Amino acid sequence: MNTGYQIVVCGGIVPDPLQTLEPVPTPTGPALKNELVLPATLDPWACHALYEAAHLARQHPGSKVVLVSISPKQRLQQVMMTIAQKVPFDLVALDGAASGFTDPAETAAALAEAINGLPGLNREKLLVFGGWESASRGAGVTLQYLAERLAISDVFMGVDELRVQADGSLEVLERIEGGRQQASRCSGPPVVVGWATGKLPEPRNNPQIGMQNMRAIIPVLQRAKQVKIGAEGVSFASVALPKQLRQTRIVRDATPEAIAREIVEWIKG
Amino acid sequence: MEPNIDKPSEATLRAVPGDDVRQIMWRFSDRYDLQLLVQSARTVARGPVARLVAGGGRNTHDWTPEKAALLQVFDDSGITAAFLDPEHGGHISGPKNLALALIAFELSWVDAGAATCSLAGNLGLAPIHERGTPEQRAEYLGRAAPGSSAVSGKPQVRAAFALTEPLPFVGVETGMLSGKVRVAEWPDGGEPILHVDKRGRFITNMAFANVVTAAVASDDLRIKGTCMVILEEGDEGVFDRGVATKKLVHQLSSTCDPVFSMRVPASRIVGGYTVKDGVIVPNFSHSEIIESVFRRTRVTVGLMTSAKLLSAIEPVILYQRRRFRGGDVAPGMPRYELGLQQKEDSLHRLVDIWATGEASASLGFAAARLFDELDPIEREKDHLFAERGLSGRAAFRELTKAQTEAIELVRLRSLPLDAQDKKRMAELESNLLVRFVMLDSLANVLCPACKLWNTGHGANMMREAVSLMGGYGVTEDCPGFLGQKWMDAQLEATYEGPEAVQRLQLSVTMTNELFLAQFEQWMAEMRRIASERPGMGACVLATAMDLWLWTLKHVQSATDAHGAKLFHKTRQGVTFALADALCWILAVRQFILDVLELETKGKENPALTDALPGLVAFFGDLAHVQAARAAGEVGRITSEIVHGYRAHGMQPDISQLCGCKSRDRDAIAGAGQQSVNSETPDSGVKGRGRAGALPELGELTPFAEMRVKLDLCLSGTRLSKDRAAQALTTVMVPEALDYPV
Amino acid sequence: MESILFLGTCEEDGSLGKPARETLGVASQLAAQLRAPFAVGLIGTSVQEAANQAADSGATRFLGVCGPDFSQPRYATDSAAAEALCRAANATIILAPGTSRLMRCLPGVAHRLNGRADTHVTAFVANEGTITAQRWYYRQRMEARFTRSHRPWFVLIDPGAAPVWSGISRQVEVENIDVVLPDSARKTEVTGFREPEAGLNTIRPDADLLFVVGAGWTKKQPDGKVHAAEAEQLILEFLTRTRCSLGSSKSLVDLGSEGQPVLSFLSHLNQIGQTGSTPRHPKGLATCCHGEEPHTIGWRFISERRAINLDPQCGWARGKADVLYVADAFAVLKRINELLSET
Repeated sequence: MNTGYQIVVCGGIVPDPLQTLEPVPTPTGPALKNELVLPATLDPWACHALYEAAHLARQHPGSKVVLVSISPKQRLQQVMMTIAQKVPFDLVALDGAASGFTDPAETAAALAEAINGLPGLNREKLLVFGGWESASRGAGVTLQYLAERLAISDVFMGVDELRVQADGSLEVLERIEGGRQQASRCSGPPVVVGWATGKLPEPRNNPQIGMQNMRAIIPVLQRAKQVKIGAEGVSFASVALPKQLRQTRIVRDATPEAIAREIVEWIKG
Repeated sequence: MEPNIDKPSEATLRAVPGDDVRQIMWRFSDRYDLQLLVQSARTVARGPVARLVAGGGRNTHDWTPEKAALLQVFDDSGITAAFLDPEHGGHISGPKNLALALIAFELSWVDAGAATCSLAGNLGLAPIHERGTPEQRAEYLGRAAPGSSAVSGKPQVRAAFALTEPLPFVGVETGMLSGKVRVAEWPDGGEPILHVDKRGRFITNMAFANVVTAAVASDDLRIKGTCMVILEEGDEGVFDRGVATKKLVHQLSSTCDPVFSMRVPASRIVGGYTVKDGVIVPNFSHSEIIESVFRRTRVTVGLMTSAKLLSAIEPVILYQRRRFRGGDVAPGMPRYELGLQQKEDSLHRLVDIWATGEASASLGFAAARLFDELDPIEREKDHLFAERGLSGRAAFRELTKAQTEAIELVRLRSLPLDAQDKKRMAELESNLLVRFVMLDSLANVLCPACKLWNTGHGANMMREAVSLMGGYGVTEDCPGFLGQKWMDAQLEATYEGPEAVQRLQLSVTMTNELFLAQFEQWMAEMRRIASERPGMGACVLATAMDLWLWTLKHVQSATDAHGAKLFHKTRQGVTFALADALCWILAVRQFILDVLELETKGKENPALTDALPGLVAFFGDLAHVQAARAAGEVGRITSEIVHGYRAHGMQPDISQLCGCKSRDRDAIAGAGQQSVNSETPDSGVKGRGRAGALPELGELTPFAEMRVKLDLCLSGTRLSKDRAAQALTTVMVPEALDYPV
Repeated sequence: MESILFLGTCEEDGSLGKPARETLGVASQLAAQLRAPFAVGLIGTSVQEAANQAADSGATRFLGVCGPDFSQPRYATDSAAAEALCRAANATIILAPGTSRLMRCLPGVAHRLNGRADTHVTAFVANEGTITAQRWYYRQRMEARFTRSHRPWFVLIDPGAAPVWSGISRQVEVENIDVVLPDSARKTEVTGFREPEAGLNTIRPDADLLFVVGAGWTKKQPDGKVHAAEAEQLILEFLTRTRCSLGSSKSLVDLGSEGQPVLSFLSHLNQIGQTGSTPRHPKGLATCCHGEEPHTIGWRFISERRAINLDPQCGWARGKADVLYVADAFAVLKRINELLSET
């Protein structure tokens, strides 16, 4: 019996976190300055979701991982040069905006259409993964919209761990307030899982996997369908960088004793 | 008439160029295998390698467990296997020069010692890869693949290349070997057993290598000439790794002075041997092997320095802009926002560094691509010669014939389209040997030029980069490890053949008639570019090329004040200097071509649409700056050679002009003044009519005209520099380097 | 005309938690400004006490979905309850605290009602009839104000972003809304709650002080050796003495997965910054951490910031901290611990 899962991971691209980010107004709403030329990465939470998906797929033979991404396809292609070396997956690429200023409802609609269009989709085996947040919009709502569109009523957010039990049920640990975790047991798929950082380290680059993935990914990127993702109904009044620079007092040449006293006083004050 | 002003584009550089830009410029946008490899190497460089450097891992010349751990990282990330063909466990098909060049570039962005550590293993295997027998290739290349030991049951091969020997042969004299090979035993009808004695010096990877390809000379009448022999740890005899070299550079690679005294079967002679009249005749001498090895690996060394220069841009900009922050300045104040970038000098110097880095990377990657093109053709040629039984003089004759035909092809190509003999051209173009000699003549120039100029001049420019960081530059804390990179660049100038060796090779190969025929084609190409795309240096470069070629031809027949020939292999003041001048030309020429490639192909990438005009404008300005600098060097060098070997008083006599023979101070001043007042360059050159103007220059007249033209062609170069400098004040850079400091 | 619903969940003891009272204040103020109908909707085992707590908020209706099925935070049941409350209240604007429970379910409810949800909202105000939300984008690197035409508009206010509302508690009448759950809503069962694995409750959202450790703790010290064990001991002692919350930089957490020396009690849960959390604390002390932007964006909501670093040019020096002590953190922390033990 094939115990494998169909794991669909949703993830867009975001600017490399080290880049300078500056908002600029455009006729279609705010955008990032030089957005299209900034080096990008797969959203870090989506990355964790992808690694967890691949890990789960390895444990359950017959599983398949599909990454569905809405991103400008040329940028996505560059990102794939790194991600495709990490774990094996199929790509479904939708050529559309990955900006933080788009509306997640529109993203979810396009994702749902793409997922519903996957050949051989079997809800009894379907696990929809994604990040519980993102480094762009950071709202943590897309997956719930998506769950509703896919009529999936078991949704977990901020997930650190997902374990398949012997009876096929899923045990899920979600992050909640106070550094605690909520444990749940779900009888089985379909589920939607918004991953926190998970527990797995970043897999090492494996060029063999990369070559294998890219053979399929390049044609997929070339025929990526264009989707229009905007923010209908949203009107931005302002987008600004915070002016939070402080007047830093730099204390040099003080003894550890003096510094320690000052800090203790400050902590207690 | 409206003056021909190179109208500056309003578009300017927005952000530091990303991977998609580099893939176009360095021509691997359709090679996702290489793009994957770049990301892999970058992850290693900016992760484990950078952390090791930041943690002080380079502060010892000993081979430490931390350094050794990098070998596993290279294995895991595919860097080790990138050298290998798929049948030996590799993952890249076809020639791998560009692949290895990209690895070297990425690793050297952080630390070139790590690059050396990775590449020296390839160097050790390269004799086997290039000239090894099928059995040797299967055994040693197959065992070099990570994970292969599980199959072979033997340790994974980590190779070292042992050529350099202790004094007196250390250095340039690679033709002389004190390492010896003798027949130790030769059983009747059996395979001879050899005894190899070799002392190595500065042998990279020696602290951990278990296979060594050693260059040795025969010390036995029963062995002919020289060869390379494969030594393996565990073979009978002494395999002494020796003491660590107390080097100051490339500390993440291991370097030792090993001693070998071992018995190995004759089947270990790289490329095999035949027995003729009771004498073992190696199929390849050591020099034949190292020639084919070095001409490839030297390019990657050249790119190590290019990476350093380009890696310096971001840390320097960050340092310059933030120089005064934290002090008595507030956001919005120029001193806060721009810091040292308020000063033109800081910007201009950084423009020079960036331009040099671009030109050297362009040259290096072009050379690597050329070898990728040449490799399969060379193998076909070898196969053809073997099939026809051509070797020695017979092979030479075939190649000489092909050379003549290749020159014919070049000439045909330079004719106007309607005057070209298409049939003949097609015939020549389909000729394997013609294609081979054409590429070979270029490779013979581009390889030493890249190695020489990228590293030598690159080291000088790294010093500039360090100086731009102030005192910070020479500390361990300098972001981007610029101080270490400066030192490392000096090694790169020496490693795998020091500068003198490269100059020597160039001084021969640059006079190849086939190369020069192609060079003339390039001059025409630059003229065409100059007319179509003014303002990026093609004009001044074309003139510099004219000047260089004229000078080369001139010195080949001219004599000095004492009647001695100017162009002679012992007259390195001429030959080496002209080789240096050529390098400047080649580098910026390739940079200009790469900018044009970006302009053309960049349009196909919608993600670049907005940024492309600015990128092209900025790179065009950098190319212009670099072309001006190259032209200056060419002008200086050629002038010194053309005039410097003449004596005052020789015809044409110019002493009246410079006034240096006059005892009258006023006359000296007057002479200088008159030359300043000369109205037109034309009248000045020909010296007609006015006292104090240039004298009749006779055969030197074309040279003097070209010199004046060269000066005039510099129009706009400083405007380009100003624009490029301005771009540096606005270009968006990351908040921080993407590797630890 | 807008109609406002405050939507909250009850704590285990039946009361309204702090984040809920913060958001109740925002809702109450907005309703007053707009003179809009204002209802309170509550979910929990029992909602009466929480409703009583909100009696003084200006709400005119108190709605509840209660029962054992609604005690546990679970998407299917919470979304069904919230949907029923929203439909009953017929609200155009639903304000809710950004707790993990409501963040999980309300976006789905927004979809069901053809509305939209905005989370991590830090301010929500009406100005001359225009209602504007404020939130951060790109991991707290830029802040935007915006309006939405979609209704209903679900707005989840970030905990800590608004003052805690308090009013006199008195008995109110709660309209109980019946929710019939399909069997599929019970496919998931909450089985319990876990403390962080380290055994130390080192993440304390309510602590006054955030203590951040960077990769420098695991680097070679002046004697050329790594002192990870000593670092662990110093840090743990400091945590014990101050009861502060422990954060770390990404580079330090990442080292663990690459076989580098690490501090054993750190995990991704502790990570502050670009891919970590952005906690709210009155004070923050960074040690052995460079203070570059990707990390310090996680400090956006730390009011007073001090740092100890050997590098006077580090990010903290460039306006990211109030005070930078250029010193050896080992020596300073050792002395701090001694001083703390004396008092």
